[in-house]
Amino acid sequence: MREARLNVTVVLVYVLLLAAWQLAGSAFSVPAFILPSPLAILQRAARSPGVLAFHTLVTLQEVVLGFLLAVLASIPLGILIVSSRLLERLFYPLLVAFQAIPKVALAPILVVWFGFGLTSKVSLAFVTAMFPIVINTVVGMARTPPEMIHLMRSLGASRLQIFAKVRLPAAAPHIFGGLKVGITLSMVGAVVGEFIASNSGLGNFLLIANNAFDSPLLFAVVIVLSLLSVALFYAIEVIEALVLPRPLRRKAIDLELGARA
Amino acid sequence: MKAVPSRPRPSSSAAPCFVELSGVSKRYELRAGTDLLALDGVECAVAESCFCGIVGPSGCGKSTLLMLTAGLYLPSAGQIVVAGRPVNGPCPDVGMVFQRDLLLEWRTVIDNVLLPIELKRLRKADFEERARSLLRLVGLVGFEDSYPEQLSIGMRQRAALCRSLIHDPALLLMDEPFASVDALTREKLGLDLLRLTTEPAKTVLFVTHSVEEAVLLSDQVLVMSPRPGRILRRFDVDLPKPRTLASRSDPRFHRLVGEIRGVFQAAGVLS
Repeated sequence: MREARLNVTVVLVYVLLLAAWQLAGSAFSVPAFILPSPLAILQRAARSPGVLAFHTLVTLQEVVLGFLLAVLASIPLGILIVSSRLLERLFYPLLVAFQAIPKVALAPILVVWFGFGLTSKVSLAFVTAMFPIVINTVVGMARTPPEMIHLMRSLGASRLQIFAKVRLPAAAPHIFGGLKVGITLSMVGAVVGEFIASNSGLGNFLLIANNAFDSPLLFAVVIVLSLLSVALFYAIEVIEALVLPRPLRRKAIDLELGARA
Repeated sequence: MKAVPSRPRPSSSAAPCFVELSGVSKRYELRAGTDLLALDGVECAVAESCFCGIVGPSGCGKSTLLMLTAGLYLPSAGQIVVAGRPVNGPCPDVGMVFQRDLLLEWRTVIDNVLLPIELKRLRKADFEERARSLLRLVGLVGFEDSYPEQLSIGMRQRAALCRSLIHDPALLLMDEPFASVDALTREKLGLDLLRLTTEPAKTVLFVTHSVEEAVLLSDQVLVMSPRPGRILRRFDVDLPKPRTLASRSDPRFHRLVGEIRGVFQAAGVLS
């Protein structure tokens, strides 16, 4: 009941904000090319739904592929860093140094390497998403107290058993935290890639709208981009809820609250 | 008092288990060139089915002693024999309890208790009844399917105790198991522990900071020196059994506590 009332309130606030935006435009006579009204943006989007959908799918594909590759590379890399001091010494400084490079600076290189198509965007989405996933995997895996390892070893547990039954589950809430940051970052990576060199995708479409001085379309594309990010973020939350047992789910929420505080 | 029901054993006759440390030293290498001598020539023998309390000041190597006995680390010098076999790797027939309960938050209480069975690749179904009866013995009926976060600290430590007993180890190694429990619960837990380890009888090494706790529970108390740890003296506790809270008002209890304190005083630990 309280939950339902909360939801109604949230929707109401959004509707009010949109209404205020709609009215403010005409009340203060803001030119439409500076701030188009929500209705104008919606109408503009409705005029070319096919093109918008096409570019959205291109970006979605780049983001999802880049993100999945990042997951496949980052979680094992995080595990390797935690499990071997040599690998930690080798990879950790490299990883931090790599993260210090603005990813935009890599875009031209990646275009030279992989061309104007899908691959350069996927690789940029991949490199931007990696860092938070690796770091969170490392932090999560290192959380298991030494006594727990002692206990497991005293019971004859192998390294693999310690990993599968203790370390990985204990790290799971942290890893999911990394995935949520990672998916939004891979979105940024893909769009930046499209800005630099591409012939399709929402980033490319944004440039087209900009060159045409089509403000309503510009806004429409930005809104689609943010909706796509939100959808991907919540997709990870849904997977998290399906995968994690209840006490770990609560821990994941605690972690997020802690990060916000 | 109800006995723990019969349970499947890997072999029909359990080896007689006792613990013998001869000339055991442990040196940790902190950094290149700097060593820490944690134990220095520890000599002790613990008879089978003996409840052996170990008291000593902080950092005297009590925990190291347990780790070595469990075979988790190897001594720098000397030899450890458990159940007639020299220890040179993790000992399979050991149960451990630590100050932290170390329950896995994502497993229910009963699945936590069954963890050793899973690790030893035995059939969990064969041990479920035993897990339930252990939980019943420590008063955790109705909490089998709860998660650890729903339990109080004392209840969590009881569940950890059940986990250490599920595979019926001959030797129980306990490192300040009740240190984070409040005083009243602590005495109750100690007496529960005695009940669980006398029937069937187990050999117990019980590290504690509390001289009273050691005397109340033990058959034999080993007193350790400050680091590097050595055994200063051995006391036999001749309090009548079974021990109860009333054992605390026995004059022999106070005499022993006083004597042990005296050893610490002489060693310069207490002033």
